[in-house]
Amino acid sequence: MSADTSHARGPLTLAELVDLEARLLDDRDGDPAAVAERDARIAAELGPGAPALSRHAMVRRWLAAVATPGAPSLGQRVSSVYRIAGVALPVVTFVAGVGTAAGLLAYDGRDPVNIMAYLAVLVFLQGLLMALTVLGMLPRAWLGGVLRLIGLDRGAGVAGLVRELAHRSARTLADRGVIPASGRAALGNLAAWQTIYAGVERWLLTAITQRAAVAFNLGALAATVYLVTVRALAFAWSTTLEIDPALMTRFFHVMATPWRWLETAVPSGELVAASRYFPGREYDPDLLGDWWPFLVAALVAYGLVPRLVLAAYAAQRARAARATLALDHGECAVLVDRLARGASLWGRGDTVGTAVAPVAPVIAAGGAALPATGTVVRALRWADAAMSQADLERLVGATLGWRVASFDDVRGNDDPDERGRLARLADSDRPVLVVAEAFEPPSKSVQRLLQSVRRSVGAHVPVVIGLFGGTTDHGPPSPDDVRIWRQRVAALGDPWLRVEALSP
Amino acid sequence: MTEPAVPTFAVVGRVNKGKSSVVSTLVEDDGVRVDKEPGTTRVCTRFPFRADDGRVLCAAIDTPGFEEAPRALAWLQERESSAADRPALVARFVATFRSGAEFADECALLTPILDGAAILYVVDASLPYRRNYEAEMEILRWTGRPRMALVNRIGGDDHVDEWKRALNQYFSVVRDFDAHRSGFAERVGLLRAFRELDDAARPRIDEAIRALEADWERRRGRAAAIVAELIADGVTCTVEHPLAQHDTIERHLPVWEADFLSALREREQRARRAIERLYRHDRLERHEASLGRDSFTWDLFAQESRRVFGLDQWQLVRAGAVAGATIGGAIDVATLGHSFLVGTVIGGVVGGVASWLGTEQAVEVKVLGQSVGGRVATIGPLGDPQFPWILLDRAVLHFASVVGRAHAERDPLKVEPQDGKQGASRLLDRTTQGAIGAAVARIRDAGGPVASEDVDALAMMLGPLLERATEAAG
Repeated sequence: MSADTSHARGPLTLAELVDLEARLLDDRDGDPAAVAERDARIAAELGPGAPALSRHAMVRRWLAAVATPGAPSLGQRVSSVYRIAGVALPVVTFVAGVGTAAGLLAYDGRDPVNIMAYLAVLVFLQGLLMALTVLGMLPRAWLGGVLRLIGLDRGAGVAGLVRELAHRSARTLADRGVIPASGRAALGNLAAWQTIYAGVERWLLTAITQRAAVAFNLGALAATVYLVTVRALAFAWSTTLEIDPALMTRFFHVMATPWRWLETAVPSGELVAASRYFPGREYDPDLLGDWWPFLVAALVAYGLVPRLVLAAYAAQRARAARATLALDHGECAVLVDRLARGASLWGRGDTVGTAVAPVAPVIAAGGAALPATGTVVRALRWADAAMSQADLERLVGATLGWRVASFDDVRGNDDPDERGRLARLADSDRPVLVVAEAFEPPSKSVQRLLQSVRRSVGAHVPVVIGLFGGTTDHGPPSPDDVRIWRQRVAALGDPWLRVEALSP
Repeated sequence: MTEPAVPTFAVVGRVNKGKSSVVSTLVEDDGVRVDKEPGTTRVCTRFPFRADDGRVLCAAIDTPGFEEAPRALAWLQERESSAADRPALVARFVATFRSGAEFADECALLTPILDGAAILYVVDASLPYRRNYEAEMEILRWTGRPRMALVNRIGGDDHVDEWKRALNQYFSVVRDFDAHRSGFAERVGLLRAFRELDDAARPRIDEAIRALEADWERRRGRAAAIVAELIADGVTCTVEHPLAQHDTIERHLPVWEADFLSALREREQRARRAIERLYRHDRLERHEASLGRDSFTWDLFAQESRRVFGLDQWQLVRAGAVAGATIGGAIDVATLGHSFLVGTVIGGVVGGVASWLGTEQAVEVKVLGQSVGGRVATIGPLGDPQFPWILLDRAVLHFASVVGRAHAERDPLKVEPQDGKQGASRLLDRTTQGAIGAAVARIRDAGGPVASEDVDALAMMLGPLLERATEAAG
């Protein structure tokens, strides 16, 4: 969105709701990890108070965070078409109202204006249209198949046309590159689902069409008042049916019930009888002109006022639909949960304290050859490895062909005994074999031991780490364990240090 | 560093014994680095557990592993004067070596403990117990903090008994916790064990457990909504293609059918990702057989229609008929009913027929250079009544696989039926099956945009099904 609306108050606007749906559809196709990471960042920016925010406020801030800066959003485009329609339609219908009333009140000085035609178009036809509007406003569950039968469920009529134009305009903008390509796909999906904003849009469109209808009635009223003011109109009633004027008088009186208190707007029996039209009949133009208060009152009471009520009701329902939008549907609920989750339940990890220095980079293994068969070695058993001297002698003999001259324990605790054992290694230049269980990963402790051994024996005495695996049977070590040991040991950069698997 | 009142648990142990796996599963975060390489955790990471109002109820801290425990213990033992001084001596050890590299790992892991965290000591009981572990257990004992041992199992061997005999001497609570197989019940069980460690921590831990359980319910409800949306989406799925004036559907049908199947698969994948994200498996790799054409009867609707302002021909006819009937009705009213509704009937018929005949011409009309209509080929929806059940079975199977998966698990998720049976069918009685079938039929037969209340109704029915799937997943 181009404008920062993140701190606006109140429920989400239609533009924001359209954007929300479009963004969620976009996210469906996005990389889940990237989406999760983005929303975790936004949740972090919302801070620990995020769960206390209303869903609308939380989503509004999310929309502001994910918006493309500088470009009008899809929702803003759709919404602006609605705004234009909200202004243009009343102008058009006002003119139509003026034209309709002027046509109905056309008087050539000979044949009087037919009251029945005026009432048929501006009262009865409009009444039927209003009845359909009210039908469309009823809860969907009450009507079921009725709405589908007459096509109102898909927004037929003026409302459907406005909706189609709004979406079509946004699609055209997408085609011309004004809206990103993804916007067009989102529009297709929006048309199919509209799970989030359909209820709001329905009332918004109804409010627009009812405002247009109010403008139509105002136009008709203005034209009627103007014509009866500037021209001497004569009115009459006629039907092709044989109707008693007394019946017509009752009919007009029933119609005038809402303004019975306004006597000048209630036609008298004499007026009705005198206004019956017969071709060639002579009229009293002064008397027949007395019909206009009735017609104006009928237009106001049966056209303008009900339309005003419907327009106000639809506007109120549109506001209520926005305000009561729970945003708890499907992916929208998941989004809100994701944002709130950044600060509730198990949050993302935060680093505390300083990092321990990483293990030194791997250095290529040295070039020292493995001691030959028959070599006599001194053995050190590392960290209580489950290997007796006898077992070791058998295993080393079978694997490498070496003999074991001595066998000592080292545990890395650097106590005087251990320091003494390591110091005695200097007494001979025989290779040293450190026996270890491969499944116990090489710790810094073993690296330090190997450095101590090297200091004792000198730079060129081979030191071999013999690894065995199997937790009970001295079986072969796993290749992964051997690789890990080799990497750690290589980090010491000692060319006379090797790691060998003791496997029979 | 840590608020004193917040119960905090430092997860400690030797390198590569599964500390990070335990943390990953406990805090449901598959972003925690879990590696076969030793020493991958180089820094303490604190995971706070927050209430809905933002208060931190408790926290877990992942730590680097012990690297030099025997020598560290030797340093402590050399300076020990009495048991009462041991915690202070451990603090002195950390103060002495904090800035150096010699005992960097030990200082890092002991710092949160000295700040007040309880100890969660992790061992791998698939490897045998060795006496050299006693050095680290002894150091932890010297801190004087509440301690619990967790018996994790990374490999296949079983040395649990020997481990427990040793651990019981150093820890007041010893629990089994397989970080790679533990589900929600085990995680809550672990939290319950935390409250046994520290009386003062109980109210907050209890609140955290209640929040976790409520959240679990919420998530299942949302998962049901996602599955319901998938089914609604699947049974109403159509793909439209513009059709040139003299073109035919048959020419393109093989390609468009393939597109349709892709669209279905894409919808299913979106639902899969939504459920995985809901259960915080953000980095999950999944192996699942694609929705195949041979899984159901390929009973696909394909029809051509004309659209004017987005309305199809029948909608235009209906709208035209209503408009005609309205005008005719006005005439009837004008005659005070003496025309016996003939105007309404004639108006309706004339309006409908005019719309029918006029559609063909209207599709060619252009306003401001933009066509108001055109010919459209609509592919779908699928007519096979079994199709929604296939979608549901697959969705339930996937849900059960995700919900039962530990966050420490890094192998790809394999979504496969158990015992050759698919997910949903074995968990539903006939009545529920009938109700779900009716709800799906209502959505499918409604036409037009899917009504959210119908999807909500379906989701309500699927909730208990997912609950049973959760129980079946263990």
